[in-house]
Amino acid sequence: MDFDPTPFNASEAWISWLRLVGVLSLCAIGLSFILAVARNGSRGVTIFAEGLKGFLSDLTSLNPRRIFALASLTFKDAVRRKALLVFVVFIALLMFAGWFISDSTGRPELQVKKHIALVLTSIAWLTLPVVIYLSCWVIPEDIGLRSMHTVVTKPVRRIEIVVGRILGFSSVATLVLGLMGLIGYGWILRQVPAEVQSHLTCRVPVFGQLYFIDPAGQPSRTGINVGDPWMFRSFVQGNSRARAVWVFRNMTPETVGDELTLESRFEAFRTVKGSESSIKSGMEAQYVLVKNPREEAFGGLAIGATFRDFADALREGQFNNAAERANELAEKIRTSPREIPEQDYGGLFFGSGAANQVLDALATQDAGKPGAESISALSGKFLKLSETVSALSKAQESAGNAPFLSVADDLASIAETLSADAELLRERLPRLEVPLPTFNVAEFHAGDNVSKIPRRIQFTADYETLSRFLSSRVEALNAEGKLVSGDALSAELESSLEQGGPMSPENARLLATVLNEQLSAGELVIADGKLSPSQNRRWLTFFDTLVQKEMLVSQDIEGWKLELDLFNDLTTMNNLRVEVACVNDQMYLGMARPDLFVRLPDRSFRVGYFKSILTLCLMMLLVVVIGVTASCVVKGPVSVFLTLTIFILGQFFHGMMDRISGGKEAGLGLVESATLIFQHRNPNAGMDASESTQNFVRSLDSVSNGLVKGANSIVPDFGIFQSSATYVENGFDVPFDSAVLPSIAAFLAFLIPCILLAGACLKFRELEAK
Amino acid sequence: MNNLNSRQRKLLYALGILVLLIPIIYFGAPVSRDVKVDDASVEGGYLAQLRHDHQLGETTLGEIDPSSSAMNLVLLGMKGMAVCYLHQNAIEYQERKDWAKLRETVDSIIMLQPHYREIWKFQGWNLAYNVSREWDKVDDRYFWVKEGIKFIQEGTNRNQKIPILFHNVGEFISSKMGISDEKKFFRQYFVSDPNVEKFNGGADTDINPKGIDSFLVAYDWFTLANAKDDLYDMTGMTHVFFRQGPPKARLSYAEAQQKDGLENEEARQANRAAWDEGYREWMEVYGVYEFRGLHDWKYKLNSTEEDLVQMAEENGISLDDQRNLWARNVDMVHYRFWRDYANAERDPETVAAHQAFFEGKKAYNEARSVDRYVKGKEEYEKSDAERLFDEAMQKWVRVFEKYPNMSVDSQSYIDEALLTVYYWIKVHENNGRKPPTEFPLKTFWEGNADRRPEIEREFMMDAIRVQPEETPAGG
Repeated sequence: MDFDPTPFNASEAWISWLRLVGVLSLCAIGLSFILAVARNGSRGVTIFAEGLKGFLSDLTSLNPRRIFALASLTFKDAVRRKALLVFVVFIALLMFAGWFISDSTGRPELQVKKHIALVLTSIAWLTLPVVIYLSCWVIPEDIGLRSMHTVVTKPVRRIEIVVGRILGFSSVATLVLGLMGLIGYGWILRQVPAEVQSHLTCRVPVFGQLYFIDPAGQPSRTGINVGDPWMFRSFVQGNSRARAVWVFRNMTPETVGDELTLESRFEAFRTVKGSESSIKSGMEAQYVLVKNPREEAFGGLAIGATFRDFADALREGQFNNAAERANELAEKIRTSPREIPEQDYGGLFFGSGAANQVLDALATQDAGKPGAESISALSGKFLKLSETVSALSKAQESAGNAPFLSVADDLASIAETLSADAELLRERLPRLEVPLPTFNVAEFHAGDNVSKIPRRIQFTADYETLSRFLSSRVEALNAEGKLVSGDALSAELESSLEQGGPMSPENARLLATVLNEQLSAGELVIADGKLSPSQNRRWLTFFDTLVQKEMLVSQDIEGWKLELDLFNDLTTMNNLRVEVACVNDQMYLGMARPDLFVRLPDRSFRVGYFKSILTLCLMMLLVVVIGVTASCVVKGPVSVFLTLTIFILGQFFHGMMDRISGGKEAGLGLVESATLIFQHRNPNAGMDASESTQNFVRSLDSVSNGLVKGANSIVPDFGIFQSSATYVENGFDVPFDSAVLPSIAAFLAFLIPCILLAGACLKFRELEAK
Repeated sequence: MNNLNSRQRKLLYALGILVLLIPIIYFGAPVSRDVKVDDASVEGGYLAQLRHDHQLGETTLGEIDPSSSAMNLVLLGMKGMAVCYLHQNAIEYQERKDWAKLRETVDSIIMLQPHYREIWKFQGWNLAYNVSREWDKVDDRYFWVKEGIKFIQEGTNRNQKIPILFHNVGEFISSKMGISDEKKFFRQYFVSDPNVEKFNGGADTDINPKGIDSFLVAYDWFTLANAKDDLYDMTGMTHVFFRQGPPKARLSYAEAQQKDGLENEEARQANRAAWDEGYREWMEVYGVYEFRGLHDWKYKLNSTEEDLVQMAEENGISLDDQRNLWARNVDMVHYRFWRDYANAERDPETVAAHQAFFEGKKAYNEARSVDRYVKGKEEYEKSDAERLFDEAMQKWVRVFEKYPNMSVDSQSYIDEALLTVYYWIKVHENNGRKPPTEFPLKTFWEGNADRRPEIEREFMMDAIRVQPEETPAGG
């Protein structure tokens, strides 16, 4: 997918809507009051009050029966006006559409995309003129022909006429769209060649959060820019430490199922031709499933270069080393605090805050387990550190070095905990990496890079994971009393090790032999029928040493094959971390957030297709609402132009208005640009005018920018409604929170104020004036 | 005022329609079939006949596309705006790598501008060259190269009177399959498409209906382009370059065959025949074509002194002017080089030199480069590789004596001869011997000392090429 789906923030939208509608309503009421007083003098106050009261009374006494009667009348009227003839055009178009769609491309996904795009685009664009014509023309015509008089003389409130008309036209538009949708659906199924029908599906993606790790191993918001003018994707360097890291939330068997499906669509970029197999098969990528609370907790501390060594030691689980680095930093801060760049303190603030949050969550999750208290203590100390660092920016100059001394003290205190609980912390903060088999990148072939990962994963362990596995296995056997027999190791040890889990006979033999050797060498001791490492070391530290000394190199050709549960062992608080690496040297993989997602079971094509029809329908209903509102204010032709203008602005220029309003559009203001063109000067040179003239021109531009901002607030963004079509065209289900909900919200956001405005205008309009 | 009832009125309308239909059919009846270039007249209305006579109608320009005509009609006068909008969209889709929409938009543009030569050229080039390189896998790249070729082929169907489009098809095919970085794969794919499912191991018949080599297909297109050029005025390219398409494709075909390796006598014969044919076309077809140069003066590339005198008379200019005109164009198209190259290549002496080098390399790669100890004689016998490289060097000496220009002009000859020497030296070194100080190509070897790093690199590349292919990913 080449766009980033952003979930709709309903509460924020609701607040900004209330604010905007409130301001506009107050303006309208104020303006009406001024006009009433201006035209009628002091009597205007009474007239205004009575009018407002009458309008509010109309609002509270809407009669559904009358509205329904008016709606059914409108429906009949629309049918009489041959609105349904649009079907004929649509069917004619579909009959000959085959001419316009060449299947020379032969690619399944391209063929499917073309067919869907044709149907959805034609539905939208064919219905639009009919809807605009009906909604804009009927009320002015009724007023002109005085047929409105026959209605208003009956006990019908004028706002009911507006609502009835909107409802009537809406039902016509819904009927037309619904039928067109059904016909279009049938046409797609019939027209798409049989061999590519399997591409008519709705994939259901779960997107994660993406950040990058640069070739030096440091976290970064973006990857490398390879010079692509489209900045959508960032690239990671092949055969280096660079990674793209996705974190997927709420990954449980209940949400995902027993098998995890990962789908990706990365882009390849190479600086060398590469081997013949890479030319033929494409570049290779690799997923690594990672559970790494150390990275999550301490990765942020590496932002500032000053604290990077400290962060790296923590990330590697070398807590004694980290304690030394922390003491060094504390000393440096005490002696020359201002030598450290300000942004590094900012990094320390962010990093310690993140460390506190992650460690706190871990401490809560592991409460009661050994080491949980150490983590909790460390978490508290990082919180304190973040507070003291935060206080630095607020501290007055006059405070001197005192605030820095507090930071140094906090770091020293952290060093103390790290040093004291190094072994416990290492035990509780594991780094588990499960590299999956490499695969060739399919690039723009959507749906070709799908990896299915079973819940039980077998993998070859790295050093740290092996140490953890062996220490936990030996501890378990020790607890069961199967490790020791008298003053020696049990004769059954080998078979016990083998029976307990994925350990080959060769490796079980090796482990038993090494344990016996260590016992003889005094590295292990037997006390009270239990085996334990000498000098009160912990089992993890003991095995770490053996593994580092390469005393436990697998005797099995397959290596130390371990088995893990995807959800229980590889997620942290149900968050799954997937790192993506580029395997090939001097090549790069480009990725953006939607390029990798967890694929839930697919839904039927019709689900996404009809959701898309629903959002198109909402768009048409909004056009109806705007058209009817415009027709209550101005005459038919003007109303058509007004509605069309609003539509064109909302459809084609909303993005530009958004950019101008948000200050993201490059360039100068309207008048300033025109002046520069006239003066043949470029924006860098600026206007050839006095300072005061320049200020005057810019103030004029601020007015035009203000107008654009205003228009941006009150013109609906019609692109929202059509975004759902993009999902379906690309074979995705239309997400409720990113596409359907914004469409519903946008429709309702305009429906309510438009009804009030149209009702008020029709109520106070002099019908005899035509 | 109106005494007619409804039925009478309807009858009157029907009658009116019929009356109006007669002139409409007489004047406006359309042509119902594609019109051939040499058709003297067409079946159809008076207007259709006029359009044909003045070559203004769609039917006279190429195939009729009803959808294109319908689109142009529906847009009324808004075609220009629609085209601008579509072009902008196409650029945006390309930037955003939405290839499906780009292809779709390009098709729409063509519907609106079916006879605009530059659109066919630009978008055909864009698909075959720019879009294809955005993809990583070579078969994906090939797919988009085909798309570009098919696109411009469609342009020729719709524009029978634009010779340059026919030439462009040939150019796309010969350059993509024969010169590009991926030529090794593309040339193979051209006769055996990677989409086995669809083409069953054969060629994509849309671009290669006969399933033959890419240069031969390019040859057909260049020949067709020249035939169109005979009928209509070609614009968009220097004429003397335009007309060299067919013989160049023939020569490139022969050259490619040689690079692929000539395993047996049959292949060698076929290759010599290809060079013969290329040489013949270069000399007897392209060489004798009457071009119009500066001031519309006539000239022929393959001219003798007598021809120059005769042409000068015909042009009414001095012999010097005629000679200058001729010489400029001969130099511009490297006429002499290609003549000598083709001539040398069809010579059995040159074929033997290539063959000896090829066999020598084969022996080297098959480890037949170690001196053999002969028991009875108690001495070492030259390895196969050394013997073959010796032989190749001697043959190269004879070729350069016969075609001295080639030892200066032809980079491929120079490189091959230098590589022969380099291999020969390596064989000696591998056997722990110093190469003799005197050897057949000594002067040539020393005279091209600056090329040695390049030759060394080429030797290394040869060594890499013969290594077994690495295990496919994931395998």
